[in-house]
Amino acid sequence: MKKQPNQLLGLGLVLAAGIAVAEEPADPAALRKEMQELKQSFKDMRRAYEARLQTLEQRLDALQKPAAERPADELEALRRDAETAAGEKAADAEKTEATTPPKALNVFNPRITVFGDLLARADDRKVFNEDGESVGDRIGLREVELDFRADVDPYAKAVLILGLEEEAPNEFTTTVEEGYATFETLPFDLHAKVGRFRTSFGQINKLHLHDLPQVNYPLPVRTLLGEEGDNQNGLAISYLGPTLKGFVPELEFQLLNGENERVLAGGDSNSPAYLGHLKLFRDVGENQFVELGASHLFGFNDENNEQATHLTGFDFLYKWKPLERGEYRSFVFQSELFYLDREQPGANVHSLGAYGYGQYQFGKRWYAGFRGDWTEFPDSANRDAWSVSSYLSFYTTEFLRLRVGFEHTEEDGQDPLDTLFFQLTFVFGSHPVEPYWFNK
Amino acid sequence: MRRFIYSFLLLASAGLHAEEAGINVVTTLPDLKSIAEIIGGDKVKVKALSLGYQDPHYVTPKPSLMAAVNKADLFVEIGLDLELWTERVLDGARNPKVRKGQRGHVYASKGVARLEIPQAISRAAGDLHPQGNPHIWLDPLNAKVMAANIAEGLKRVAPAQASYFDDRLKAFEKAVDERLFGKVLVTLLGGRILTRLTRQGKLIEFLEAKEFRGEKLIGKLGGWLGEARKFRGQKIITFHQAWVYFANRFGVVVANTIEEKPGIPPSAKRRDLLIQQARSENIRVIAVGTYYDTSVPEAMAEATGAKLLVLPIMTEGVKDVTDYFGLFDYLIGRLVQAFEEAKKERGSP
Repeated sequence: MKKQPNQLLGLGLVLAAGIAVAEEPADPAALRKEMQELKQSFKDMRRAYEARLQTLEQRLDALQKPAAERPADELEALRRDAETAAGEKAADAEKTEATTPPKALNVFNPRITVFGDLLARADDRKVFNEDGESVGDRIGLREVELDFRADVDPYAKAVLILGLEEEAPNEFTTTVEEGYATFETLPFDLHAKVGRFRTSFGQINKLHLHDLPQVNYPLPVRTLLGEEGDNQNGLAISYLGPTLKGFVPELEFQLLNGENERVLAGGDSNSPAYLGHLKLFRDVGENQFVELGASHLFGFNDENNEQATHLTGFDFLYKWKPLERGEYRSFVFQSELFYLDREQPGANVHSLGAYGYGQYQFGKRWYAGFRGDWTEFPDSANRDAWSVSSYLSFYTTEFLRLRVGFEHTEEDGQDPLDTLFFQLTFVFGSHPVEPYWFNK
Repeated sequence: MRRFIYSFLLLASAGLHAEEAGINVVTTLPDLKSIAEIIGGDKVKVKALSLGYQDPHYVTPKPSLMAAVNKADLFVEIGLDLELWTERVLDGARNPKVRKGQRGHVYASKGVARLEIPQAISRAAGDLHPQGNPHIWLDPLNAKVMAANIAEGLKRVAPAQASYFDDRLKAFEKAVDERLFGKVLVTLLGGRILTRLTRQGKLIEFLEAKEFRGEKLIGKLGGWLGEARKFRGQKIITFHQAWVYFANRFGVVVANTIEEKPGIPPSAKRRDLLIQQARSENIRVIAVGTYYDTSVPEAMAEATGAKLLVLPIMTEGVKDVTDYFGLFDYLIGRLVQAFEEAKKERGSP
């Protein structure tokens, strides 16, 4: 192979010499210079050819080598380069624990939520509370709730909800709305709650004032259970039954102090009251569900435990909320029926009450609804009251709601009342997720 | 005594049979269901509490979900404050085995590197996730971590099947690598090193610089990343901050979100600002998750000529996406198609 470039050089020189001889005799110095240049060109040419030949030889050798030998070195080198390029293993600091890693003892502090509920009302006549104080035609900080929740230990959780309420203009009272421990690791699908809690009579009584879909509790709830519904001290045991034909049953039994002022002995109570509640929940397709419930409260309404009270209720909830784009449309219909059988000196009282409302969500943040209420009274079935109301709610976010509403109320022995409401409700803090029966 | 022994053996075998009969796994999201089914194989029955086209932030904690979890042996959730509703469901389910911190509970996000951890936490910034963006399943490399967490959970509740779950986890990891990088590159360099290069953000640079047998390695990049090269560096506008993991992995650039702040619907002013940005930066694709309102994105697409893509954010978010791998086939395929169509309509980029 090396001989070929030399042969080419020799041939070139001979040709150059021949050309020189064939031409007319030239200046020897110029001729010598031309020969040198030619010689250099051929040397360069030779070098280039040698390099190319070497590359070709190497490629040929590589192709001719056994497959097992050939890529191994290159591949190993490539893998080493990749390891080097990747550098050190990703630092563990990037990674996450799914819950906040403990750094200090304050991670054991409870989750705290604050709810604020302001209500402005304009009435077409004077309105008085149960103590005879005027509460109409004003802007009020109706209630602030402080909600504390935490795991106590592996077996129990606790909830404490304190309420600061403006019972009368510029008069605030502090109450324990709820304060209880729950036990959720009991056998036999049981769940227990001990302390002070909103009783499970019906559906809407379980909601706090700021969580109501309207400005206030329905008339029968205010009349038969209490101005703000019923909450008592006691023990609650609930059982989640097996699903049957798509119905999920839950049965709850509550042992209460019997301190409800409207239908039981209130502060004079010295015997327990008993409440049972059965609910049947069923999904209807993926976009709807219904729930039927029945409640019964038994206790005494006198300090001698001689006059019994039976309060029975039936509740119904229907909700449509399409899963696809489900945050933009929904419809709710909810209704409850109350029947009171109350022993009194003279004649027993048999009173009825009912309410029903429909609510439609027509945008991510807009809800509108209409409610009708009717009730007789716990001390007389010969007196009744009814109201109709409509409302429009707007949520800037899930943490702040503005609501306007109008309510017309008529009650035996009282002048009709028209009220325009404006409500602002806000929440800050950890904000636990609402239960499924919460309907904005 | 004999009766006692027989009874004991009967009860013991009943326990074994229970394990062999199928581990009851309940997950929050369909993506977790898909991964759990792959890892669990024929040893598991899996149910997801939400559907692929449902917003996972807002699932109603109904008694029917509680009843499903009541019977679960293993409960799997993402965590990172995505599914705040699981607390109500777990409380109502009355199943001590799957409560948080118990052996039957799995946070799939454990060990996943988080993105978008807020520096300041305040509701003034919208509906923040204080622990970082929780949409972690939109990066296939995170799925390997999630699958490992699920496998650990399965091994806790069914230790006799541990080697079975480990084998299936390895197979899943290999499948993810091959779908992500292409079989050729995985055979050459191995999934482990490719994963590390990718996590370091050095994969493309490395492949472009290196050759093997005289050919540039970048030419051997296949799978989803190979396909995604067709839109690498292209800008999109999305509705919500759900796409950060997908963008980080596949190289599409989220130029802005239609929500000014998380959870805050866009105003007309916001819409107009985004239209201006789309025009000035030649943004050709707008991506919206299937469970968001499309009225503002539609208006933007009409005003700018951009392509509006309504995309699933989860497995089973549309009927064509039936498993976790299918989600990326779909997303990448739609994006490639959209950018190609946009290029044809407007000429070269």
